[in-house]
Amino acid sequence: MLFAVLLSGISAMAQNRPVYGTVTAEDGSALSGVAVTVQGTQTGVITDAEGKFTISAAPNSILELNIPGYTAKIVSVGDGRTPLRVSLEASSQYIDDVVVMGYGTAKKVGTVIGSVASVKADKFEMRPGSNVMDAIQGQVAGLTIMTSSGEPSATSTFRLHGIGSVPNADGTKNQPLILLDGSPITNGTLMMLNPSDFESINVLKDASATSIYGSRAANGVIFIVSKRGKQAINEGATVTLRTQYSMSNANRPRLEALNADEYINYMWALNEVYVANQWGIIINDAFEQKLRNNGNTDWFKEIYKKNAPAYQVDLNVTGGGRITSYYLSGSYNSTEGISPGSDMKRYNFNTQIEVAPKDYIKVGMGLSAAYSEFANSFSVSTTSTNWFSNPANGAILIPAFQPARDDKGNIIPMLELAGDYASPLIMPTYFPDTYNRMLVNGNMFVEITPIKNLVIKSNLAGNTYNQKRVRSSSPDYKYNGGEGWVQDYYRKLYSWTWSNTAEYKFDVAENNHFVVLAGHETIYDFNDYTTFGMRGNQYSQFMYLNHGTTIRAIPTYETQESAINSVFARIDYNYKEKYMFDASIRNDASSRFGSTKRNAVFYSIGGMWNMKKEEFLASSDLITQMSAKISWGTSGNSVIGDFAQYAMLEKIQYGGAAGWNPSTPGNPAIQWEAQQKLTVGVDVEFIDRIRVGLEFYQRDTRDMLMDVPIPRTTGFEDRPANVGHMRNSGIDLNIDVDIFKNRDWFVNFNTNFNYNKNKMLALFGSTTEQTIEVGGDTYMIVGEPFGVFKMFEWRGVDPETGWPQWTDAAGGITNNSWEAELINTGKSMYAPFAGGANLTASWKGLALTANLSWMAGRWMANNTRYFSENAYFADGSINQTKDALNYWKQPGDNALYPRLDYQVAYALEWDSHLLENASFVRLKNIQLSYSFPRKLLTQSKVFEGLRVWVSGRNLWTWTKYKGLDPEVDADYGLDNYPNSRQVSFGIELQF
Amino acid sequence: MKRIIYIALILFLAPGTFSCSLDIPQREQLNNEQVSTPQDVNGLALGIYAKARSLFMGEKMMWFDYTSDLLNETSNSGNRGGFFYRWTLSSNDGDVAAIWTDTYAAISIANLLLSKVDVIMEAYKGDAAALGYYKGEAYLWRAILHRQLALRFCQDYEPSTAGTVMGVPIVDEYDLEATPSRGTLANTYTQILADIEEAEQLISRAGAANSTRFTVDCITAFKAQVYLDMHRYDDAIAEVNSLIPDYPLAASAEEVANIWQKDNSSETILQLALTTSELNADYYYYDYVGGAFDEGEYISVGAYIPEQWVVDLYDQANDWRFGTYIDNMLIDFPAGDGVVDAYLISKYLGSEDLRTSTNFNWYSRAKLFRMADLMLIKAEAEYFGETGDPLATLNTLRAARGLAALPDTITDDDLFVEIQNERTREMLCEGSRTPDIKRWKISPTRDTQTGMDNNLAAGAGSHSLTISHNANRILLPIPLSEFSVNSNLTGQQNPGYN
Repeated sequence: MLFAVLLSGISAMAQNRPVYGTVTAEDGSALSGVAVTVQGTQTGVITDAEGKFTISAAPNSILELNIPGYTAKIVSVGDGRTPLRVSLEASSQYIDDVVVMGYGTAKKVGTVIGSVASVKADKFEMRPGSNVMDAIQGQVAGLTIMTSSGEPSATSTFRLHGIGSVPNADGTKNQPLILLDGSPITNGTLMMLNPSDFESINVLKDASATSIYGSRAANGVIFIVSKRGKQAINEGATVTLRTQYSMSNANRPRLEALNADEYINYMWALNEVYVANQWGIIINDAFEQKLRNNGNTDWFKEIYKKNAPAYQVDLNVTGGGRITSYYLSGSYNSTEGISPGSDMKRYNFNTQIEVAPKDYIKVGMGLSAAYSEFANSFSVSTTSTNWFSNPANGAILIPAFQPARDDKGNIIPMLELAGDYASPLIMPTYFPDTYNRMLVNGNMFVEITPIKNLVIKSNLAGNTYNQKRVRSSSPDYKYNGGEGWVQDYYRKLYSWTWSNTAEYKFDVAENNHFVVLAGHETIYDFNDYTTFGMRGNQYSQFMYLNHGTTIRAIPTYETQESAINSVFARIDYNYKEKYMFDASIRNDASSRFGSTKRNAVFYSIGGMWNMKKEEFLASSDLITQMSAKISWGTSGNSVIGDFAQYAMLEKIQYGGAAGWNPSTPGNPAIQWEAQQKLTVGVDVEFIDRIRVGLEFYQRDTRDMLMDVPIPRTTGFEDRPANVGHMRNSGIDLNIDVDIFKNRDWFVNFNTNFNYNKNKMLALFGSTTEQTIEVGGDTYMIVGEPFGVFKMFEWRGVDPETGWPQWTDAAGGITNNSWEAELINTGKSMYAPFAGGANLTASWKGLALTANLSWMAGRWMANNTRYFSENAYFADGSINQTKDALNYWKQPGDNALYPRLDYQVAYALEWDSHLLENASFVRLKNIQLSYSFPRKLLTQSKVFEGLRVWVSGRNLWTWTKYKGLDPEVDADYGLDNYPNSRQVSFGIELQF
Repeated sequence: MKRIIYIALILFLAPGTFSCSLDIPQREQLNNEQVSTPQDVNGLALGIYAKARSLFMGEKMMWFDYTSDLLNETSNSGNRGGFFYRWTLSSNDGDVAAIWTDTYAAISIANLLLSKVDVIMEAYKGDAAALGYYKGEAYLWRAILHRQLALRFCQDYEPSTAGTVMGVPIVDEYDLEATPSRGTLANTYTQILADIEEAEQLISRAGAANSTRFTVDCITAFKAQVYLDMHRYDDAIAEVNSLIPDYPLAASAEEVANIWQKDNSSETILQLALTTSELNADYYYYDYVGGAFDEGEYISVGAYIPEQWVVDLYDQANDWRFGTYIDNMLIDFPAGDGVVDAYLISKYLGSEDLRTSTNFNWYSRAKLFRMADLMLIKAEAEYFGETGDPLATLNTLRAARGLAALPDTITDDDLFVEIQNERTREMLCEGSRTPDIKRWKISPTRDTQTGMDNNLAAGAGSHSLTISHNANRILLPIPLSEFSVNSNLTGQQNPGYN
């Protein structure tokens, strides 16, 4: 029909007459403020409060109807005698009003059964830092985000509704599926993209929203919508230039290192113990003199940079006409880390173009390229050593009598008074670790509407990623004997996703609206890793492969490769927007499983009741919105090694000949991990101002894919299998209050809260208890939350004797560590409580926003204290903290630590005295901005918008954890690289 | 309109038929099921040698000696191997688990080979000889590896009690479901003898000095070791005697040094191959004598140094091993006296051909069978057995090391002490001392190298520990994780461990 209208438009141009009309939304409600113009003329009017308009037009002329939030529409006046009734469809391009769902066209808020939380660009586009996930920490109930490292290039770990399954080594098994405009990307790819190019980040939580993604959606979906141009009747474009500058500083930990004087005195106290027991000496007058000659160095101050700068500039153009719309952007980010040798530079380019040459066809293409180079600060990853060369450890553990710089201010490379390790300050020179990455993401789609209400879409997305890492060890390093080495690591990734969908909307009778969707999708993913190293480099300024003299080791080459083929369908039913149901089904087949195990079907059903549409609420002024929903469905998880089903042999070399070594035991019986999720929710809005959303969920995960221990007499430690049962149940609560709003003022407070109770219901075989990592302190125990600590239970120091005390097997007290019993502390490394709070206050152009995020009930063992409060290690090489001085001296002392002769002889144990409450509250962001009034700007005739702001990230943190940073997603805190405090200034111009 | 529908259908359906194949094994590896050629079988045989290297070289071999009375842990150790030294291992120790797992992993390659070879022999009749040899290698390795486990995890083999004390789980099939129990030590040795017998049928490769794959002489040498364990003294003597003509002892200071510094000696029957591209930190002996040159002078940062009584065993003026096996060198104790002179295990400065820079590299090829060890086996067997002249045998070895002959007047007790001392001198830090203490039923007490008191690791009591031959802690614990996955091991932990 539209087609016919377009054709007939050509013959227009006759005498004008008044044309009457009414514009409504799809549900029949009046739309006011719609711009109605006569095509090819200057004539235009705006609809009134009832959606009515009158306009002067010739018969058969064409009217354009345009209002933000709705798809523009063109209608013929016809003979002009019949009043027009035009219904506008909500536009999927205006994310404020719609919800992104799997495949198909987007849906209006309030008609979606699935639980979807959306975070808009204003929460991340004016933030310092390049990590978008970090910026939205605390914004979505049930989505916990942690950034375990302050490295500018670090990615965050995030989880929805708890640990859903036994984790794999890199944590990806519990990570929500990340989709960029519908195609999967990795966390590393996300880190490479410019958050300013995102329109919104949407978190799909329940089965109704996620089951259509089948196998990959067990942990929820994070759907990122890119900014795009908007089709418009009148061609137009906006140019935005945004730049910000920020400065970072380190937070001092609660642990206070001893100064030189205190440490020397402590060594004398220890020396008495050594002498009394004839264990030799650790200090004498001459040695003391040597130590005292070097003053007192505050290593924290030496190591962490002050006001480490970061700079970002974004330029983008968004615009469109009737046929073409576009979004172009470029950005540059340069961030210096607070720790020695850490920085990042990133360049991003992004193009999104859509062309709709005919009303039945639309073609779109997005292409984004990014290049980044970064260097990482040196870090350690084990508990057994706490290397001084690691800056974060060094900041506390290097004795203050060890100077950092010589008289001329040059770095002293080797810490000769402290174990002769390389200074953390020289590490970037001696052991640089640099990366560069190149990323290209492209996608192209064609969307055809062959008949009304049928949309067929084919989308091909490709994602490639190349990374080169170079590590080297300088010939100048004392222990290298004048010959350094270089090792290159290459990583290449490419993946493509081809999705084809058909969606048909139809009505049965007047009020029964149906949408049916069917589709097919193939995802292919390939990664390879190559390393190559040379040694014998003799010039420290030429740390390149070609300057080596000999091959360091046989190069390594490894691949990962997988594919998934899927078919899926969904049906939505909507009765007067009062009762809504949906159901989805998906079949996935994965290359990770054997031919008889690879297919699995996932499905969901959901329903929603919009009570406000019922007569008994329709007229209520108190309750302005109210709905209830329920959904239930299944999804799967296949995160296990790509080749886990196969028993493979890897090359092993013997005397120059190639042999075979079993690398994986394989298990052809492995299959999909299965999850069921039930979600029940209620949303209520009172007096148009107070919105409360409450959801209850229960997630049951069975047949968890994990490497299950097998007898080591097989030559393997474990073997993949489907085992166990885990349950996460909890609530998400959102409260949003418009405290005050009028023409000039707007004050809003919102808070979200999640309680998640995790419980292991079964493990494997007759096993009811298993360490998560061999030798680790965290366990999976049937009946307990996953990740509970089980350690020797520290019972303090006996005030009479000064001996340490632990709980023994009988529950009593023992002074002997070998009689101590591992006790389930009931404390988990995963927080059961988490949430956030946001305050927004604006007056005219001035706006203040503050975002708080918090986690409670999580525990972490403090690795630093094992070394810094343990006389065993205090023989002059490892500094101690002030608490270490609180040791038992005489009967009656209520000391923190045992008598020194005990500590020296036996060392303090790794027990529950190191377990600390790592809950925290963090002022994630606070920002004050000012948008100059439009009136003022229009006078300038140059700018359309001008905004300036100042903001702070992590300015304030409250925690009981004593180490550098509680925000580490781990069972023990290695204090590797703390998050920094950051203050930034920005300006945004629009033309 | 029809055309539009047509286009749409093509667009929708054409890619719809495009799906990926879902059979994607790893490209750069070989699927177990594809092992089908003689080359593949040879590859598996090589795999056993390569895998077994980490048990016979580097830290796993060093830990074996840390439990004995040869060494002092110093403040340079960073607690590497400290639990072995202090006898404070727990059964969930990762290092112990690594010894256990790596040894059984090597056994599993042997078993995988044996499970494949017969079928392949049918298909490749022309390669029967080569395939038979690989099969023999698998049997001999299985025997050697089970004995290595027994030496670490079991009490000494005493014929009267071997039928009652616990052995090690015998794994003689490639089976991921197997849950073997420990059985008795007699069972373990019965299996070892059975595997030797199989190997004898299959291996005919002639022996040569410095071989890197099994020869008939390796079987003979291994039998001598096993027979000494089993107190079958006359059998042990006979095996050794058959090899004496072919593997003359190194007999000058230079030749003795070459055993270790060049990995080349007429007395080496088998040493595991290693090339510079196969170096791996698991294999090196850094904690004995690692270090760096500082202005032309080599300064070690070794973590474990010989005890004084070990130093005193060597006749510094005459013994050609002094200066090669053990030497007075500079060592840096940053947390102690700084750079000082001390005696170090110089045996492991590394073979010259494995150096990768001007510095030492601390890699020496593991010598599984060498004549000096066999001569000491012979002397001991002659001392305890019915035949032979232990003094003459001992004096033959002494002469080859620059030492004067012991007089005929020596008493029986003194002769035994001399045999022990000679073994300790010769087999220094080759993983021999702990089994020797058990076999000799002695209980020596550690002492400390003179002048090193300020440089020892903390934990003072450990430096005067008595290494009692029947103490619980002289045996390693069975890894704790085994008990939760193998119910047939219930109650079979070594005493003193949980």
